[in-house]
Amino acid sequence: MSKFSGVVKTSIKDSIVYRFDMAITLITAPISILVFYSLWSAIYKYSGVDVIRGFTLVQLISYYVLTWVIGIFSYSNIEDAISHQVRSGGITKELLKPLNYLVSNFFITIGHRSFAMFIEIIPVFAIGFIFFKIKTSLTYLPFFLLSAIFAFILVYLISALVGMTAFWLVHNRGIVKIKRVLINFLSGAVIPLTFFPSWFQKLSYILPFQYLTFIPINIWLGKYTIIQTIQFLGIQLLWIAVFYMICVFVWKAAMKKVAAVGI
Amino acid sequence: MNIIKFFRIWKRSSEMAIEHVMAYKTAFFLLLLSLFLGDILIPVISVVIYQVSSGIPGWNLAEFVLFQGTLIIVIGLWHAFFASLLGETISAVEEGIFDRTLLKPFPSLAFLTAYSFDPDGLAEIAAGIIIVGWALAKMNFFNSTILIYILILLLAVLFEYSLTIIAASMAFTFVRTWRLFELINIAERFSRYPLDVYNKGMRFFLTFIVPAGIAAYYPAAVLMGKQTVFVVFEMIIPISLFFVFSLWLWNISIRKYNSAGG
Repeated sequence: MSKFSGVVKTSIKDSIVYRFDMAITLITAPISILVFYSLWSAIYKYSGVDVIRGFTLVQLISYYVLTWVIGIFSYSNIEDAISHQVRSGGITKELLKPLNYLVSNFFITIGHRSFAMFIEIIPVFAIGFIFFKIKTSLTYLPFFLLSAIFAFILVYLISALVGMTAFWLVHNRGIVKIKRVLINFLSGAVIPLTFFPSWFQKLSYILPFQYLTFIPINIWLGKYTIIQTIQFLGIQLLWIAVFYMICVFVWKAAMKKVAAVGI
Repeated sequence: MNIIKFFRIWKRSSEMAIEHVMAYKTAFFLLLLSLFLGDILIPVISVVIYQVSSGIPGWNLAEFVLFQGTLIIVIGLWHAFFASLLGETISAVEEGIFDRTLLKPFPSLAFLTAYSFDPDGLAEIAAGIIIVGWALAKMNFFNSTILIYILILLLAVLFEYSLTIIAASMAFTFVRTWRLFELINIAERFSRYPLDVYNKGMRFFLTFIVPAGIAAYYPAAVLMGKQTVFVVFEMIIPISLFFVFSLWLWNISIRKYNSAGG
């Protein structure tokens, strides 16, 4: 375990060097929230209603602030890392290291996200607290944190799986982009899933993507009972197990395919 | 600067860009599909918004979709013809090889612009045209203001180009900052919705100080008769000033370059 704590420490140091990269969120997040707030304030006022699909304006803004928080917390660029290393041939060097590639990259991501907590997440949360009074109950806070951690693991596994397509396609930017578009749409990161027609909601409920954004945020907002919340956490764990098994299977197949010629 | 020489360089570099992507046809077409899909889903969100509410004040669904399609065309044109300028500058500064561009017997910005063609942007332009076409057909709208629409649209692209130059200029100060692309995204975020959703102060800021709000708003508003064609004169001044500012910033920024990399 100590070798992985070394990986985490190194990735935190790496993040500190490029802190300006993260600090840009301090500009982009407030602006995005401001635009979202302007848009939906105008829509609520123009529609003459206080609640749209179970969300008051304040709840909807809280929802949006939390999509930023969850998005930053669970962000992973493992797909880009795999693609780049496959293209450059650098993957062989990585595979020769006495650490499991996917596991060590998981700890690298933990290091990066730990630093992001301070530079990105806390300021975004502060905006939510100060301007929109976003709040949760102490009962739901531990469930939210657990759900956010599960979302982080699930995002990593899905990203790794998509990244592995590079072993077959070499240039997989298209697949990566399709994944990002679909996840944005199906996870409720753009607007809450309850805004969509019922057939779409039913479809998204059987897919794993709502567990990346929609479910953790609704847990924060206290929209489920404790029993429902525990059930959702259980299903999240189940999806983690499913994607973990798929990842292991695809990784084994990729190792048979790997040819480190570089392109 | 010799314009003919510029277009000769642009033509050659564009041919090379196409040859490059054609070397990996499947990957290229998957990427085009992903960009197309991402853009086509934007009006789907609008449909959802209009199903659950009365929508954007003063804009019906077809008008709002036209607005979004216009923005997608503007972003697509920027992506196809100017976006690579930023990436090329960031990576050249990062690797410490920007002096190769400076040593060329051609203005550095013009040279990088001539090398900026990116075929990926064509998928976005196509998606934007389809969306605008759908909205126009829905509104049963075809008249001569479409020519003014195209002119204003090109002014909006000039704004995006200026913003790219500003972001690229910053690469000389903040070495290895790939997130400079997000500065463009910020402008795009403000452009995503009609100026009508913002308060008066914001509207003024987004029209005259950083004219991000006008990227899709004015072209679409003129086409639908929400603004007169004379608005084109109103747009030329802030956008031209913004462009001149970007050129000035580029010229003082390249003097900072020191080949050290990052």
